[in-house]
Amino acid sequence: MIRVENLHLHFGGIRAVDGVSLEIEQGSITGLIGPNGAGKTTLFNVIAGVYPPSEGRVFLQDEDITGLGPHQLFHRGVLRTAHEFSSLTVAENLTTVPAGQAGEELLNAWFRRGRVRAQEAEIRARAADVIHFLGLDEVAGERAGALSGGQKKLLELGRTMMAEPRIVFLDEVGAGVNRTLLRSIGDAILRLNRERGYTFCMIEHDIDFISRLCQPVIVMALARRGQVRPAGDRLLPGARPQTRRRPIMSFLIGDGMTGGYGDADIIRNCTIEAEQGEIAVIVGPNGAGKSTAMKAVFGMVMLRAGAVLLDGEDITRLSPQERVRKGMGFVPQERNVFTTMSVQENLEMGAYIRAGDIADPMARVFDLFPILKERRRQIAGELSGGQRQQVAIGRALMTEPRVLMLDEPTAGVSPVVMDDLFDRILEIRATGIAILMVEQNAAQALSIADRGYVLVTGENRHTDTGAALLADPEVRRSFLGG
Amino acid sequence: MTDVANAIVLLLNFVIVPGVAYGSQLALGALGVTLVFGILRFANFAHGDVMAFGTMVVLLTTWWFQGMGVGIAPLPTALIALPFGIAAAAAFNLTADRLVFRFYRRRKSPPVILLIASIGVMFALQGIVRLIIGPNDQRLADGARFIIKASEFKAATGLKEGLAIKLSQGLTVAVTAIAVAALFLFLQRSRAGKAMRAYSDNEDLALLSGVNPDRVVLYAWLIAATLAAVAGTMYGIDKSFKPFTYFQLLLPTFSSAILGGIGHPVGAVVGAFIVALSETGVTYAYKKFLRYLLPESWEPGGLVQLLSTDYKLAISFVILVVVLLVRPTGIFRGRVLS
Amino acid sequence: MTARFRTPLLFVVMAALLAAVGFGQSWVVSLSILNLCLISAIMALGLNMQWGYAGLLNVGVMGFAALGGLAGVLVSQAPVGEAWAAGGGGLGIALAVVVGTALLIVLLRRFVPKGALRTSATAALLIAGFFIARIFFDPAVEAIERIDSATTGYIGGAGLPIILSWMVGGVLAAGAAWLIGKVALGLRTDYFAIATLGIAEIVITVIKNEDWLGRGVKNVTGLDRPVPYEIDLQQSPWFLDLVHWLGVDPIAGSSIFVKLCYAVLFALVLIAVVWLAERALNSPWGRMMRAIRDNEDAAAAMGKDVTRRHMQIFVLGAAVMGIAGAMLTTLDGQFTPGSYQPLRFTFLVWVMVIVGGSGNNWGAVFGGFLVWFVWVEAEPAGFWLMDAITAGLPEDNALRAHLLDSAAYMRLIVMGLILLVVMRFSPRGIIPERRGR
Repeated sequence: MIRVENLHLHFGGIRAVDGVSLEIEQGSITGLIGPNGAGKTTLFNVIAGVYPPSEGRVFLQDEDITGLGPHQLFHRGVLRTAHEFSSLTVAENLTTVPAGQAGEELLNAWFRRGRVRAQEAEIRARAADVIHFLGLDEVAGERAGALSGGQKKLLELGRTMMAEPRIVFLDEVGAGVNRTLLRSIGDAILRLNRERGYTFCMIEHDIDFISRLCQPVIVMALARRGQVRPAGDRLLPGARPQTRRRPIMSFLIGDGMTGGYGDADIIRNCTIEAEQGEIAVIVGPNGAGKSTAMKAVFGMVMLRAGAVLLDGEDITRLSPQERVRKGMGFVPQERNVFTTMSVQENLEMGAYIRAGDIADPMARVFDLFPILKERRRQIAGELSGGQRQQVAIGRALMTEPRVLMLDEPTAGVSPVVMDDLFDRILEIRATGIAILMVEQNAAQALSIADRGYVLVTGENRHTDTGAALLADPEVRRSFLGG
Repeated sequence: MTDVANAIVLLLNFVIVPGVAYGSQLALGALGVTLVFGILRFANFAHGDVMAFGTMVVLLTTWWFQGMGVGIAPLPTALIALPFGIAAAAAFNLTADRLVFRFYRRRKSPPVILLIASIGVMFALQGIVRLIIGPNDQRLADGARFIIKASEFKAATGLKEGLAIKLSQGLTVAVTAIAVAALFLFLQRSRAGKAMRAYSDNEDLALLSGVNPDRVVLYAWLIAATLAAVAGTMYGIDKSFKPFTYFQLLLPTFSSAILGGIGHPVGAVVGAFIVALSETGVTYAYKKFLRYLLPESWEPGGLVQLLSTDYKLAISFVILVVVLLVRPTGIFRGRVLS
Repeated sequence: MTARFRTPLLFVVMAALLAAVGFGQSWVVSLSILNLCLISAIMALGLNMQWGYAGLLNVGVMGFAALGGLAGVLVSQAPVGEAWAAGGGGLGIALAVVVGTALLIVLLRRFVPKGALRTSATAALLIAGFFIARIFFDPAVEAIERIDSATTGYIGGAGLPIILSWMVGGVLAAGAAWLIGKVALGLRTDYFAIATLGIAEIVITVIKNEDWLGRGVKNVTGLDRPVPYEIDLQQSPWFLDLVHWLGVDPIAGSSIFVKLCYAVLFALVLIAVVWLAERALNSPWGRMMRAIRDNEDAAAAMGKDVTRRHMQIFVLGAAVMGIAGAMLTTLDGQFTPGSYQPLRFTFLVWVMVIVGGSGNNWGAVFGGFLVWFVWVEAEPAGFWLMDAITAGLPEDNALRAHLLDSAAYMRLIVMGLILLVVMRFSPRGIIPERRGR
C-alpha cells in the first residue's frame, strides 16, 4: 500500500534517515521497532509529509506522494496521528476532523446554513458514537488539554476513526499508558483493522504490545532499516514484581518513590539504589518511567511519596541545584551541552556552582577524555555525537561529584562509540564514584552493571545484579528481545 | 587620478561616514534587543522608548549642568550627563520587569504574551516621556561641531570635494567601539557573562549548572538599558532628540538584530552596519559621484538616486524580509548569545 | 447564567457612559465619540479575526487602515483630466512594466529549478524591471505633480459617491494583505509582527511621498459626503420644521442630525460585519480556525490547509480594517497621511482587542467602544487631574503650565496601564472567548 524507496533525510550534517526502503501491505498492522535514535519517528514524519525527504520516493498504491504536505496526504487517506487540540473540547476534537465539511467554507457558513447544519448534525452524531465507543462520554464536553495521558491516546484513536483513513501512522500510542488501557487500545486497533479495514503502521517499544498486534514487524537499525522479522508467538507476560530490601544502606537511595509531572503518577513505589564504586542501571520498555525514576532521584520530579537519601542524609526536599552542591552530577539525555560555547567553557560551566580553582578537576576530565583537551577551544556544537557526549559527561564531572547520573548516554550513537563510552564509564567507576544510568541498550548496559533495575509501568519488576538479570530467561525474553 | 580621489571623498562624506555613525547607534540598540531576546526570549517593543527615556534624562541633566555652567567643552555636556540617563533607563527596566514581565516569566507564559505586555509598557513609557518633556524636537549637542571641516579638508588636500566629520560622529563611533568591546569582553571572559551565554544557549542545563536565572535576567535588563541610553544619547547628539523618532528607530533596530540572527551579539553589530550603510547608500544621489568617474559624454541626466531619502525605512525592511526568506536564522545562526 | 447577562449589561454600561457625556458635556461630543467608537469596533473586529481567531500577530493595522483611507480619495475625488493627459500614459507603461516583470519572475520561478541561477535571474529581473519602470514613471510623476500643484497635482479619483470607497478600501487592503501574506505568513510569530510593523510604515511612507497618487502630505480636503451638509440642512424647510417641532436650535440640531446619519451608516456596517463574523465563528469554519490556532501541525495532520487558511483570515481581517479606514476618511471629510501614527492606528487597536477579549467578536466590539471612549475622555480627565494636583501652585507657575500642557499624554499612560492590568488580572479580556461550542 505504501512503498518507500531509498529514503534519505539529512539535517545539516546529521543523517536522520539514511537510505530506508520498506513496504507496508494493505490491511496489515506493521510494527516498527528499533533502538532510540534509529530515526523511527523521523521516518514517520517524512512519510507523512512533515519533512520533505532529501532523497528517495514514497508511493501510495502507485501514486508518487513524495513531498506532499500533511494536509494533502490526509485527503488521500494517509493519517499521521498528532497531538490533540488542547483548547477545544473532546467533542470538537472529533468533529473538526472529517474532510469535506461544507461549513469550513466561509460562503457556506454564511449563506447556506441549512446544508451546513444538516451535515454538522451528521458529524456530531458520528462523533457521539466514537465517544461512546471509546468510553469518553463523561469528558465529552471537557477541554482536551485537561484529559489524562491515557484519555488523550484514546482521543487520538477517536480522531482516526473520524477521519476514516486508509492507512494510519501511530507513534508510540502505548507510551506511558497502563496495562489495562493499553489492552483496550490494542483491542480498538484490532477492531478498526478487521472491521473497517484500516491499515496501521506503528512505532512501539512494548514488545508484548507489538507481538500481540503486529504482523509483520520491521526492525530498524541505527538510521537504516534492518531486517524484516515476523513476530513470533505471543511472548510470555512478565512475572509479578519482586522487591527486596538490602540490610546495608546504600550510598544513594531513592526509596519507594511515587510521583510524576502532572496529576498522574508515572512511577509508583519505585526504589533505586546506587553504591560508590558501582554502576547501577535502570532498564525497561519505553514509557516505563526509567528517566522519570532517575529524575526523581535528582529532584526534577514532584514526589508524592517516598524519600531520597544521599550518604544517609535525607535530600528529598532539595532542589536539583542544591543536590549538585551535595555532590550529585546529572547528564541529561538531550541538549546536554552548551552548543555555542567552547569545550573548555562547557567544562567551566559545569564547575559554575563551586567556587575556587577548577584546574584540578579539568585536568582529570582531560585525562579521562584526551580528545577534549585537544579540542578544548572548539565549539561544542561542532563536535561529533560521541565527543559531545564526552563533553556532557565531563561537564557533570567538573563538580567532582560523588554520584554521577546518566540519562541514556548512548542514545543515537553508533555501536563503536557506544562501546567506547561504556569503557569510559567503567573508568569513572574505578575512581570510586557511584554511577546510576538509564539505558535503552539493555543488554550491553546490564553487562557492565553491578546492579540492575527492570522497571515496567513505573514499578520495580526485577532487581538483581547485572549478570543475574542477563541470565534470567524471563528478563531475556521480555526485555532483551530473546 | 584626482577625479577618483574626489569621487571617493564624496562617497565617504555622504555615504560612509554618516552610515558608520548611524550604524554605530543602531548597533547599540540592536545589541540591547538581541540580549533581551536571548535571555528573556521575547521581542521587546518598548526598547525604542527606553532609549527615549534614557536620553530624556540625559537631556534634562545636560540642561541642569548647562544652567550651572558645568561643561567639558569641546566635548558635549551630554557625555557627563550620560550616567544619569543610564541609571534612569536601568531603573525603568528593572521596575518594568518587577511589575510586568516577571509575572509572565514565572508563569512560563509564551513569548508572544510578553511581547504584547511590552506593548503596554511602551504605551505607558511614551506617555511618561511626553508628559515630562513633550513631543517636540530638542537639541542635545553643544561644544565643538566638527573634527574635520570640509573647508579645512579641501585646503589640506587640494581636492575639490570636502570631507567633514562631525564631532558627534567621531564620538558615536568611539563610544560604540568602547561599549561593544566592553560587552564582548564581559560576555566572553567574565563568569557572569559566561553564565548569560550559557543561559541563552540552554536554559535547563544552565539552571542545572547552578546559574541563577534572576541574576541573569537582571544583567540582561541592566545591559540593555545601558546600551539603550548610550545609543539614544549618541543618536540625540548626532541628530536631535524627538520621542517619536526613537519609537521609529525600533524598526531598523529590530531589522539589524534579526538580520544578524536574533540573540547573536556579533550578528547584531554586523546587521546594524549593513542596515545603516544600505540606507545611506541606496538613498544617495550618485549624479556627482558618477560625473567624476565617467567620461563627460556619459554624464547621467537625473540624480541617479535609487530611492528618495523618505524611503530609508523601507530599505532596512526589504533587507530584513529578503534575509528572512533566504535564511530564516539570520546571517549568523541566531537565538543564542555567543 | 451571569455570563449570559454580562455582555448585554456591559453594552448598557457603555451606552450609559456615552449618555453621560451627552448630558454632561454635549451631545455633539457624545455622538462624535460614538461614531469613532463604531469605526474602532469594526477595526478591532478585523484585528480580532487575525489575532483572536487565527493567532496572527499583525502589527500593521495602520497600513490597511491608510489604504482604506486612500480609497476614499481615489473613489470620490473628481478625476484630474490634465494630469491624466500629462502623465497617464507614462504611469500606464510603468505599471505594465511592473506587471510584466512580476509575470516574468513567476514564470521563471515555475520553470527554472531552484538554485543559484534562479536566484540571480530573479534578482536581475527585479533590478531591470525597477529601472525600466523608473524611466517611464519619473517623468510622468513630474508632469502630474507640476499641474496646478497648489490645488491638485495628482491624478484625482473616479468621481464616484464616497460610500463606494468603503468597499473599494476593503478590496485595496485585502489585495495588499494578499501580497504581504505571500511573503510574510511563513515567518514565525515575532518576525511576522516586525514584518507587518515595517510594511505598515512603508505603506504610510509611500502614501506620504507619492504626491501624484493622493497628494501626499499636502492632504486632500473637502471629500464628498454620504450625508447632507449642515448648511443645507439649516436652509431646508423640512429640517427647520423638524427642529422647531423638537424645540432645538437649528445649528446645533443640524450638527447632531449629521452625526446621527453617520452613526446610522456606521452602525449598519458594524452590524453586518458582526453578523458575518459571528456566523463564521460559530460554524465549522470557526472551529477549524480555532484548531489551527491551537496546534498548526495537528491541524495539518487532520487535513486542514494551514497556509491557505492563514492567508484567508489575514486577507479577510485586512479587508475589514480597510473598510474601517475608508469610513474614517469619510467621517473626517479629508485624507491626511501625516495623521497616521502606529500608536493610534495599530497599537490602540491592539489594546481594544486584548482588553475587550480576543477571540470573541462581542469582546472586540466592546473593546473598540470602551478603549476609544477612554482614549478620548482621558484627555479632559488628565487635564482635570493635573489641575487638581497643581491647584496649590500659582497660575503662572512654570511646572503647572507644563503639566497642564502635557495633560493630553495622560491618555498614553492610561492606555498602557489598562492593557497591562487587563492582561494581568483578566488575561482573556473583559468578554472572554467562549469555549466549547
